[in-house]
Amino acid sequence: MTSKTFIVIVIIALLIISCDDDAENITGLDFSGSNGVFIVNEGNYTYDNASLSFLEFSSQKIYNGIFFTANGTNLGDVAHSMLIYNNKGYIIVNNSGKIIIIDPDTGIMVEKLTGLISPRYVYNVNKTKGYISDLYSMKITMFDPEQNALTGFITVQNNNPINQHSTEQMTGYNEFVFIACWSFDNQILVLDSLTDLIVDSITVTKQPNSIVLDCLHKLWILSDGGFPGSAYGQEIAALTRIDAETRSVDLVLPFPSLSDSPVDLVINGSADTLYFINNGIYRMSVTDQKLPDKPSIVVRNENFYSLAVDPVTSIIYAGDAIDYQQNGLIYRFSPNGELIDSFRVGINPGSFCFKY
Amino acid sequence: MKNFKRHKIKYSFFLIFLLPAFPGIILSQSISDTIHIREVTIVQKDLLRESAVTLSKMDSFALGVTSKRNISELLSQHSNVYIKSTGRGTLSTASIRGTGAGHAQVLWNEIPINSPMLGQVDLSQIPVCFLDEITIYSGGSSLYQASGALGGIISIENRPEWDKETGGSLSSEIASYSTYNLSGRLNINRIKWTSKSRAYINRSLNDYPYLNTHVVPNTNEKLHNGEWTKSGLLQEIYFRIKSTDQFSFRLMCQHTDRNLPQPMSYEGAERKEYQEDRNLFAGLSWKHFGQSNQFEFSTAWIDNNLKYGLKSAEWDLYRIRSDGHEKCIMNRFHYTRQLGLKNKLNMQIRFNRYDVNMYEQISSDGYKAKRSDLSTMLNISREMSDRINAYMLFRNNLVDAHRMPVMPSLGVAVRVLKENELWLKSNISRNYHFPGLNDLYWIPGGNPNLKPEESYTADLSADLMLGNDFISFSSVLTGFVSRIDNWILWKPTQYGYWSPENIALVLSRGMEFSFKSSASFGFCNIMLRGNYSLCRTTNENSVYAADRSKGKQLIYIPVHTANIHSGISYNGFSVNYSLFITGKRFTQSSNEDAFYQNALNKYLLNDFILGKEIDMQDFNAGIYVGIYNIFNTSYQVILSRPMPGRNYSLALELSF
Repeated sequence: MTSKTFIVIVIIALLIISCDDDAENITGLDFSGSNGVFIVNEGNYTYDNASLSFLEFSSQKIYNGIFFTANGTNLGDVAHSMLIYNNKGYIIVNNSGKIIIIDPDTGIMVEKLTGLISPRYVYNVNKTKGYISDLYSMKITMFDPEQNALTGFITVQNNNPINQHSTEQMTGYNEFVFIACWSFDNQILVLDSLTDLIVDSITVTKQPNSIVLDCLHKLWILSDGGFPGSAYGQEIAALTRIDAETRSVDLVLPFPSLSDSPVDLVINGSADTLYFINNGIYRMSVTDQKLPDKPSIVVRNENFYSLAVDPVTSIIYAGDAIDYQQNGLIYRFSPNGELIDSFRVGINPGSFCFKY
Repeated sequence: MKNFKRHKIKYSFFLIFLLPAFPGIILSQSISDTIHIREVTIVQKDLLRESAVTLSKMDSFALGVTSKRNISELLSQHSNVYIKSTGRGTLSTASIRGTGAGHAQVLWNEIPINSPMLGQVDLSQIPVCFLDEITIYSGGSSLYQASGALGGIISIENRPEWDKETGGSLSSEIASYSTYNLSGRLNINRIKWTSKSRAYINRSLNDYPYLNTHVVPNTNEKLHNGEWTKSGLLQEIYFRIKSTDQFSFRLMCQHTDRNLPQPMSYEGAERKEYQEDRNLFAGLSWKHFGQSNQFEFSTAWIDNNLKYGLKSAEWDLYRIRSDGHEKCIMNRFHYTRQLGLKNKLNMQIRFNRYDVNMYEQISSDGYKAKRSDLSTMLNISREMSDRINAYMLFRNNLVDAHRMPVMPSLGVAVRVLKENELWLKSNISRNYHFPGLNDLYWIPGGNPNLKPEESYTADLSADLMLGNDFISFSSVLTGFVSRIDNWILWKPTQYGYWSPENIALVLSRGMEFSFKSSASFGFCNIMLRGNYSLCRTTNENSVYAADRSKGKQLIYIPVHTANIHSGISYNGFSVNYSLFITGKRFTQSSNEDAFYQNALNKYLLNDFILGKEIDMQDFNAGIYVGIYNIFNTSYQVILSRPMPGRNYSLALELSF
């Protein structure tokens, strides 16, 4: 062996050793026909370092930075949520004021909806109408998913400087869309998607951060109650049940103390089991009349930041932000709460979007 | 008639100087910041070199070449202090030896001016033309001046110039990105009193072009919403009652309005982010210079108002509209006594009172807080022999009812060779930094249970000076290590907001090297100087099992930084070439950089300044042309904040 050959071998060996064994080294993307889950990594506020990861179920491989790989740049500033509808992936990039629309098979951006203020979630009514909630704009923005264009807005302004109806999560029942107003608010707005008018509002415990619809046509709303010292006031967090048909509150389950600040209420595919984070991860049936006493997944040394349940397998996904300044982890738990595995993803894994 | 002509020329000069203040008259040529070259000054022997205190003092070259800039640029270009800046003309904070912005304390004529709420100083707010001296006390040496400066102290001084005649100067600059700068100084000297008046106005559209790589597709854009207007006035009056007593009065007021650009990826609806700063500083001092006793009593009133807003153009809707008001009364008494020929005693008492009011209109949240801070210091230094000096120092601090442990500092300086100016110095110290008022009381998230940050620091340095009447060389090589417990970090909470906690154990160690060399041959002066810093500042604590930050460099702190300046002046002409190197910086605590935007690459900037000074009978005039970032390097100091490419400036200066 000549010295040149030896050096080449050493360099190649070093390159192989130095590869990150956590993630696949991506050279091209094609997830067509693959089932999996997108992980939306928020990144850090004002740093433009949000990213997108994809866990392919068949290969059990995690692909990090797929938006960057496909498009040559990061997602933007604080990617908040994602929705796949009609084979388009809508990624809401909150502090970049835009929604990036990707091909979920390749990660390539096909279009973007710009000119928004502080978008949070997308809810698609049908192929030609979608709603965008917004933390600060005091309006629901309408868009046409077919044309990828903004088409109008529905004002929710109530001229209250504090209760300004910051719109957050949305869910639908028949033609009505129920919108949680989270920040400094306590309303669930009811939007008629046929007329695009706000037709009703329901008062719940302060700061409803998440909303789901169960198999019994009941809406479940998780309120964090606000925070200590807030001029808006703080109350004990609660899980509220509303009959979607009558729009009346029929059950309020308060948490034990003011220090409880639950988030991320999600529901499984059969819409009969609720999950949420309150330090640990709790699980309850939609027929339960009280909150669970103990978490089904106890925090050992994790910092649970986000939660999702696979609509097909009911496997639980939890994001771990660690110190909020490094690449986070996602954990997978069986429906019974047993740890299956974990994967290193991007900074602050904040939401999940399943691709089936 | 001859006099009339001379005055006519002088007035014409003034008119030329005033032109850039009215940009409509000038072709909209775009050029940036400043340039002014003064004659290279040969470093003189400083008695403080012989003490064990580790300090570095900016000389007239550094002050002259940055005279129309702010001190963040002065420090980043001429010292080992690293400046973290969100952009040109925007928030700039100092990091000394890898520590945080709150660990660098800034003194203005011995009075601390760090914001009691934020704990830091925005160095882009202080123009170089408002200072006469600037000294950096690093590590444990800072305890000589004040406590809490775990990284060090930046001490800014104004001085009377009793030996100069009445005179003044006026300078004007036009620079890239519609930047205009006008500043003036007037000194009136009498036997018993002297007055120094300075004023400036600086404004910029700050709309530099850059390639936006954070959007798809990448586009060539101009920075939007980055404009600023800054103005200020500094008035000093010194009275010499007796040859041993001097009274001084200083008044400084500043007015800054800045818009803040959005992240590069922003493509949302039109929105405006802005900051308005109003600062007032009024100080009185009495200095007594006895034969064996000296004392100085200073008192100052500081009134700061900071307004911040973020609003959407649509419906003129504010998201955040905060108003922070700080009122501070600062007092300092420093006594020095010579004890025999070889001992010196220093005593210091500081008493500061802070009253702050922070209010955010949209959420109606805020807090009001008061703080009293009493600090005492006792220092004894002794000349052990003609080659060995030593000191010991003890500082106490009482913040409201919280008494902090004694902060000692011990140091020794040894002249290695009798015939050479080569000194070895070493000092060790313990220091405490009390949390800022926002850390304790901010709503939401303030944590009243925070503990003070505690640091242990050791320095070892070699200080060499060589030279004769024509050539001089001086250098300082310093090694340091510092351990900081209870480092305060803000992190998100279960409530969705951020809150500070005593989380980290930080270890900072490294070396600093500075040198200055110059040669003088008649009318020709040549100089070469530079600074290099190697600083490993790592987190030594990890809270979570999956945490990969242990042992990793803190984010935004480069391991390597350097600056090199070379210059030559001949017969009134001067040429200066500077090189600035900033190493790679991580933006993830785990120091991962799998994708290029997660780490900030190293960059190298080159500046060139050409000047000509004309010595006339009644006044001197100078004209300076500067080219900055000559090779149009694309770089970022903070993620998602583009910095300017190649830019230019043209400046005129007249002094009489």
